[in-house]
Amino acid sequence: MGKVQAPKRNQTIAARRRRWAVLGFLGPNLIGFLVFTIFPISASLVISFYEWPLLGDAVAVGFKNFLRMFTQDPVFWQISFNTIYFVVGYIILNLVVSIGLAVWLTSGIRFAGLFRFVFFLPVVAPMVANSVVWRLLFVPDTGLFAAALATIGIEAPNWLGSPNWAMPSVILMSVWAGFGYNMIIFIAGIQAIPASIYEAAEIDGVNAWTRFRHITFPMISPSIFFATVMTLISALKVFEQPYILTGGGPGSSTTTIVFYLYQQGFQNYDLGYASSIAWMLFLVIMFVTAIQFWGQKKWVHYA
Amino acid sequence: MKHSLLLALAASVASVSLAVAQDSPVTLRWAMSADSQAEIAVWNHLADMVHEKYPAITVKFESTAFRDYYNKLATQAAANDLACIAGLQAQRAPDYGQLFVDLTPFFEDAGFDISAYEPSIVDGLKQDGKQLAVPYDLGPYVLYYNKTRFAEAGIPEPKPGWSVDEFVAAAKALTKDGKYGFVADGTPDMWLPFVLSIGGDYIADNRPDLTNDKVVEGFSWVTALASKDHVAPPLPATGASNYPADQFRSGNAAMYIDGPWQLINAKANVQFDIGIGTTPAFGGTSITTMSGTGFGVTRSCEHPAEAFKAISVIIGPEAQQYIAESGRGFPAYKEAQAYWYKVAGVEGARETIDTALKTVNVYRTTPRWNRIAQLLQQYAVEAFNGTKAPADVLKEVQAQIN
Repeated sequence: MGKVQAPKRNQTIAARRRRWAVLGFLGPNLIGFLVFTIFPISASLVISFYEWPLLGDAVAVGFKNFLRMFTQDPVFWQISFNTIYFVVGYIILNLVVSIGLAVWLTSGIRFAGLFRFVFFLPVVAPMVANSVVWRLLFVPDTGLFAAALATIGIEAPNWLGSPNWAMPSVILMSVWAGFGYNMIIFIAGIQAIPASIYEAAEIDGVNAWTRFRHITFPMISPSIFFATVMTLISALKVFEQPYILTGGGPGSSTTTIVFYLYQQGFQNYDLGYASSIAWMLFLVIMFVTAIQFWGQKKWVHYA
Repeated sequence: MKHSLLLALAASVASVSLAVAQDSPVTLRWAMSADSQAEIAVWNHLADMVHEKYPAITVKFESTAFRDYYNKLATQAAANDLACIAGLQAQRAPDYGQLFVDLTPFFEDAGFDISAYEPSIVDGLKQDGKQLAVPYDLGPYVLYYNKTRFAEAGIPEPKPGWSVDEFVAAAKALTKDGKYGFVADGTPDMWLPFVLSIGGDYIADNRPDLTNDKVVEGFSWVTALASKDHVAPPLPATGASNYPADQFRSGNAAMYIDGPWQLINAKANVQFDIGIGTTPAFGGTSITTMSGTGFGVTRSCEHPAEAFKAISVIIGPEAQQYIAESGRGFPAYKEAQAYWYKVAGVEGARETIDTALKTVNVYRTTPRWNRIAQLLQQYAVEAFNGTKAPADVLKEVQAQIN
């Protein structure tokens, strides 16, 4: 009996020591995570049940902020719609462009490295700088886009001044600024596909589309899944573009959820309401991501 | 008996600590917005002037970009970490006035004469009879115009008090070759003069009232310059802070409305001659709004008397002359304004500003005015572009501030 216990005790001591070592290695990151992420997030949950001005005393109001969001706020639903509009438009365009270019760049073209570098550049440039430059490109009448269209006889719309064109313009700029990241992921995915599969397809006389549909796409589906989840989360959190490019206008046509919660928090000084919007968004992101993980079984193939 | 003993003890402790406070040097923090190194240098110089005059007082300047300044102020207040001296813009008084103490009791001790300062901005920095800050600069909103374009078009330049008909005629004459006569956006500073001049008011019972007939009329009139007469450009929605100023400075529009604090900076950055005139008069009446900033002592300051002494130097005659000569804001200290006009070197500027100040509206605001201004800028785009009725735009904004 004693013989059996001794090694067991040794094991627990060793395990305990290991646990401390693990904690020691995780410590620096963990403390930062607790102090700068977990604590503010928990605090914002508390604040969301208060009427919490930037100055003065906070008053507990229960679910009033959430009720206001769904029943009284005159623009909340429009802003939710704007966010969905942005997310859907951005994800579809981003994936089409990034997969398309990844396939093209891995097809043995010349200067592939140079193109890859150039296409990735906007990802590195700060979104604030991108937005300022695109603000100039979108200037009505004299901006680059308007002037270019004028040379072929098309009168350009007032991109950022029209409620119909403002959101597509924001999406366009965002896709330009963001597709490079996904493109790099897809290139890595495609390059990892064994050449023998393509050789076999070639022997079978398969055309380019079938090759993409039945080899490339299923083989990089884990990458696409990863890219979709990450892009969706970042798209739901879009902020810089309305902040710098459009100021959320015209009207509220490019105001997205995160920009709106910023406005409520730091222009309207209503931190309670801003926090409740943030938590609403958190729940939506969690829900949508869960659905994606559930849905992936149907189309993602892990080799 | 016991009580009086205690009182005496407390009094003697207090007097000792007072004596200590007077003799021992104090360091005071001073918070103010600054958007360039040049501005920071100006403020630091003023802080040095305080120390020169009162060697026991050292002022430590803390700068924040204008965009973040008020958020930082509120955050510091919440953390009980406010600087002793802080800048306060008149339009922010309803939101941040509660952080400041009434300065009136300090005036006599420091031998400070508030009447030497422009009364409109002194009034603008008051709240419920309390003087929350004493002003260092001010400005009535005036009409900036491109002298070069006026000369090219062969039309007379605006005279102080010029009429709305003259204004419209000029705007029409200046609109050609893809350039516009005038530019404005939804920022209230840019169109409230057109409401005030027709006898309107945008505040009722201390609440914003943007949907009354006069406000709608004045706002519609300005937006029609773009949407109907096409003498002002269509607008993009933008996160830029002052789109009309950009349009004016790049030469795309020949007139716009802004504060005189922009004048010296603007003059240095454009390739044409700049003039300033009054906002156009409706039936002989031109009423413009104004803005200005002052310095106050915060509630948590442990040395309010010293802080006020420091402020009296920061906005004192020498400092105001220095500010004027380095081409910063238009000085609130009346005696120093002459220096400013000299540095600005814009003919007719004095006459224009004097005329504007005679009828100026102190531009009262309500809490969260910042949000209202942002919403107006954001929503007015469609009114200027003619895709939505101006009255509907104002209704949408009003609905969000109720």
